[in-house]
Amino acid sequence: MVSVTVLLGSVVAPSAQQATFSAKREAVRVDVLVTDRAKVVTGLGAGDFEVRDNGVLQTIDLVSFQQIPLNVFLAFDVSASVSGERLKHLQTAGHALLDRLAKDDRSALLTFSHAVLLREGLTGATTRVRQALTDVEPIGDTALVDGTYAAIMLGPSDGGRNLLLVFSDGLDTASWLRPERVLDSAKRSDMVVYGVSARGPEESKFLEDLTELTGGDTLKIESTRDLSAAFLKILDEFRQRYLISYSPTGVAPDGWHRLDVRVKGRRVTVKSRTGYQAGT
Amino acid sequence: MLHADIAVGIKPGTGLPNRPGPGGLTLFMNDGQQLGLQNTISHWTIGRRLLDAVRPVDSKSSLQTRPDPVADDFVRRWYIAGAAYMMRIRNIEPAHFTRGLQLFPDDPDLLFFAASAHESFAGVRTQSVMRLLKARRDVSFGVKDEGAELRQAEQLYKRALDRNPKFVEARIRLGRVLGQRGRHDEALEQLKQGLTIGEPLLQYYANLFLGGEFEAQGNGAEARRSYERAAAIEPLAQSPLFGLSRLADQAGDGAAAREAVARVLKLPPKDYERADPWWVYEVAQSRDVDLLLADIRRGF
Repeated sequence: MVSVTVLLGSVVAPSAQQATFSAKREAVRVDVLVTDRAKVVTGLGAGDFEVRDNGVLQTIDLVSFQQIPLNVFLAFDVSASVSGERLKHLQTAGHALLDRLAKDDRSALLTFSHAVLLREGLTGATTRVRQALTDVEPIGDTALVDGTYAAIMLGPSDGGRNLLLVFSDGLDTASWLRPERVLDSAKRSDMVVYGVSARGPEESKFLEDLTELTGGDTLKIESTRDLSAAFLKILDEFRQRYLISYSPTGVAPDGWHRLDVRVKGRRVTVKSRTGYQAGT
Repeated sequence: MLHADIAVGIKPGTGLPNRPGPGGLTLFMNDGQQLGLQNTISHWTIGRRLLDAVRPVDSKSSLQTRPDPVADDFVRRWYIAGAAYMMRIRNIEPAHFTRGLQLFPDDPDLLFFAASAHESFAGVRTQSVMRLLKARRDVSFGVKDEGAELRQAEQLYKRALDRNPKFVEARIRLGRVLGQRGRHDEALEQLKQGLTIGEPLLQYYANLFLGGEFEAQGNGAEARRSYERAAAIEPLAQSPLFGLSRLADQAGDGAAAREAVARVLKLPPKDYERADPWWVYEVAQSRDVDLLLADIRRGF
């Protein structure tokens, strides 16, 4: 996860050609999952990580673990195909996830069929999100790309950790936005996106690309009966991620920044977003 | 729904035409997924057979005259109304379009509806079902891959426009198809001509598609103007607002991007309270179907 929201200060520097220029130096936050043979590795500190921003080794300011409350955004497909038993499974899974949120965590519910609807904005009142989920009625086509884009845009930049959980059981049949453009927007967001796909043999490439880009994962389930387990797995995994913060040095302020995060001296698996877009 | 004729095997030399019977398979689809496959009797097939036998009404001994359905304008109108109806209810028999164009290859309306059928076949709703189709190997619904369907749609729209250059709706749809094929310059040329039409629905489509085409060309200013015009025509539509948001985000204006999405999320929740013509683009070409059907019924 990357955020470019915290303004640490400005630099005023002399130049041979110009009198002065100022540049914002912004903190970058990277949400990282470390596993060793599928088991989460805990207890790591700033000295254990190496972060390279466009190949340039950075100095890590801070590493947080399980200390920052979560903002959990639920973006659920409620098109016509999610009816009957599938809807019940989705509601049960959503309720299970909401029940497991901590006191300071917040949640929101957005749904998409052909229309994109914010059922409940980001709130600490879990009961309201629960009720909103109970009230949904499936209808129409699937605007997965539009709905996901709207959810990404909901993410606040006030320092919480933003998890976007997208569920869909079908291909996009109704969006206006093109997948590649939404992927581009995701590069500027600090959301970590996890997807749960119940589609079957033909998966949503968009969801897979998005989750890989943002450092999340796509879980493919055979049946919506497996939704509760998938949702809880995602929440548990997200809680056990490290939040690394650094102030980029030695790299251009704008453009695409490729990220490479490693744990020193250990053969572990590190999952984080592939990079971030700064500026335009 | 899509229909496939089932060819009935008839021994050669029997003198009987080797044509499909009225029975066929209907493929039921919803939201890009196959719901089922069912044997059905197509009344459209029966209708086509009957109309193939139409003879000139002023013939004194009509039974000895060769059938000439092309000479009867009712037949032409029947094919047009049928095509519009099939598109409207998304229950399509490709054979109807094929036979209609065999009889009336130069009719701009029939060409237009046939083009829109192929444009629809190129969409993900149909393509995803076709890729995963669970049916007997010898059954074909006549749907090709996305690229081939778009090519066919382009050719048919162009033929419609050759016959009727003032057919602005065909021009707008041709513009969209060209954009889908990655030919953005040609798409812009067609869509700009579409702006001349007075009907708000078509103005909306022209502006929405222009927004997408300008965006594809990296012309953010023109894209924004097009989306703003579309949003002004249909204030309750979400698509142009998403377009505006994406443009703002790409320009690094996160606040404007979030503001445009906030406008979407403040739209009324119920479908009947909000309308985005983009949602019904695949059937919008058939909006006058009731008039066409009434015209046909007057003949009885």
